[in-house]
Amino acid sequence: MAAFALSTLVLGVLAACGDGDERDASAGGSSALKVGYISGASLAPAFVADALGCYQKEGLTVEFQPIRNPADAIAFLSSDKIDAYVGSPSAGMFNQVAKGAELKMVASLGSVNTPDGEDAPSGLFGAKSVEEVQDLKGKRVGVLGTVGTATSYLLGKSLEAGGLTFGDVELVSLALSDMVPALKNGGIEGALLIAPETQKALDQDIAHALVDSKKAYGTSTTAGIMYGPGLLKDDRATGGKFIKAAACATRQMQGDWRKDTKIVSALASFMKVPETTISGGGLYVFEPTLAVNANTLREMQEMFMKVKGTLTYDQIIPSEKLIDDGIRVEAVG
Amino acid sequence: MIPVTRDSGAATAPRADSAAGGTTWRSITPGSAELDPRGYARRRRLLERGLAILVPVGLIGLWQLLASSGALEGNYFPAPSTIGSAWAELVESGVYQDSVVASMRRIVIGYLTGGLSAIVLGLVIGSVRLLRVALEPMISALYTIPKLAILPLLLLIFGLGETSKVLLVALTCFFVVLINTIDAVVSVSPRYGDVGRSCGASRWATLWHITLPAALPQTLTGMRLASGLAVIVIVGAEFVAADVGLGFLVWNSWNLGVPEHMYVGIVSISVIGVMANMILRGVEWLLTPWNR
Repeated sequence: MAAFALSTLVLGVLAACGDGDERDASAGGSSALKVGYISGASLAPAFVADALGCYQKEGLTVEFQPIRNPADAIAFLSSDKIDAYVGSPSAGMFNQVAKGAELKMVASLGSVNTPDGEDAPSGLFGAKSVEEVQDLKGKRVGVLGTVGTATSYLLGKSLEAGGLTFGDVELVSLALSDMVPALKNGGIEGALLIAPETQKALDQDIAHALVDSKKAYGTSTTAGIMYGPGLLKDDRATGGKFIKAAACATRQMQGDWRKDTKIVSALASFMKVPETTISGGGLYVFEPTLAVNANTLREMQEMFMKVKGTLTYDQIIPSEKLIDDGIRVEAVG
Repeated sequence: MIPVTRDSGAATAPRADSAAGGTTWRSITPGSAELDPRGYARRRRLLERGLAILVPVGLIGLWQLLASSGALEGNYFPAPSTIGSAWAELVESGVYQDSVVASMRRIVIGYLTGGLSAIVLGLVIGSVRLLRVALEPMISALYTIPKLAILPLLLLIFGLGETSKVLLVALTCFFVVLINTIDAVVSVSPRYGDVGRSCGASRWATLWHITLPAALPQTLTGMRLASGLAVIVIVGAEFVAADVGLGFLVWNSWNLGVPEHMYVGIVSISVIGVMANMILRGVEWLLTPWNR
């Protein structure tokens, strides 16, 4: 116990004394930002903005730092170890905001609201034995992470479309790449798949889409940009520049951006995947306004509140505590 | 060596060597250890026990103080009192008991399966030279594979249920105990075998009465090491492939932004490790009376 107390104390003190790197603002007005990110095509504009010259145009130098777990990003963001986080809101974010942490969503990125004729890049898939969502009642369903993640929200919306809730199925937490094999060997009978796993399941004739994702959660925006106290309070101007740069990239990603070789090449290079994975992968839609859908954040909380132990509070956090729309409005209009 | 004399009088400074080759005597004043050895030992024990209690209490007190004053980031380094309340909450909701039972079940079944089978196999391999020569390189190679790395394969073969996790613990314990048992058997002095044979002991009697007792201390050390590894590996497995257990509690609490629950899980894991070690030391004490 002494060793544990000592190590916690040391870690706590180290965290308190940790490098609070200030954003550099050179004489030329150039600002440096540390941005944590979770890799994914739904966040593409933030990743390709450099290759498209948008950050340079705003006088920004952006240092991207990969983050594997959204919970880590929330911790880094609220303690100012990173300036911005490009990823998804989660129960971890809600719980921390409820405790008083200063972090807010300032812009949204990709949604699955693709044009007619284009499949959504994610969706609830069922094994061959499952014909409709209702057949999943009492069955094992794979999800990335646990209830409380943005993906679990998408799964919840898909289950809702078939009249089910999380309580009606047995959730199994799996890595994305393990889902198709698990569907194949019968370990699970349903899963919320994300491209390219969706295509893999169809190509191998292992599973089929159970829900039209565009109808289930097409208007929801769970991908976006979040700021910590540094950009929210001390340096809103730099925060505005980052949003302007993201909007600049978004404007160039209208329509089927997978046909634009420059964008595909930049995104593939950033995500360290073959270009074919991007050009043949799912299409995400990026609204040029980058407006955050407050309803999505409210729905996420309502859904997570129904699962005991996910949220530590019992009153929905008002949207103004989770969203700062002022920076976006000023930057993009 | 300098002779020392006991002098109840005043302390005298060490004398310099008087004459070349002459004996130098040095006097010391008897301290409390010499004048009242039992009292001194009692006070010393009291001091040691006091320190063992006061140091952790002091550190926890300091932690509480720093967290309450805001010197530590309270959201991620909560005060011990907050962790205590979280612990009570988890117990009240039943989540804590479910987590402990799930992890303990996986650890105990995996540990006993892997450890006991390794002892049997280790005795055989250690006793038969040809078998040892044939298998030892392979055992060494398999031992070094990080067992968590093969978890996805176990999941693929045995599915998402308990089997894959129990098997992972069993595999981890198996190699540690096996290597220790083989080494222990090989280290048994051949003289013991000679004595057994001269007394007409059969192979079985030699194994049971000579090899096993002689190899037992090191084998039990292997079992003790394996118990720690079992705890570590199950926590790792529960991070990625479980929906109940202490590892899951730690991982999920962090994801949900409730670090106080995470600390409850971490402390519990540590307590399980310490308890397992104490139990195995007790077993060792009981089974190897000649080694006390």
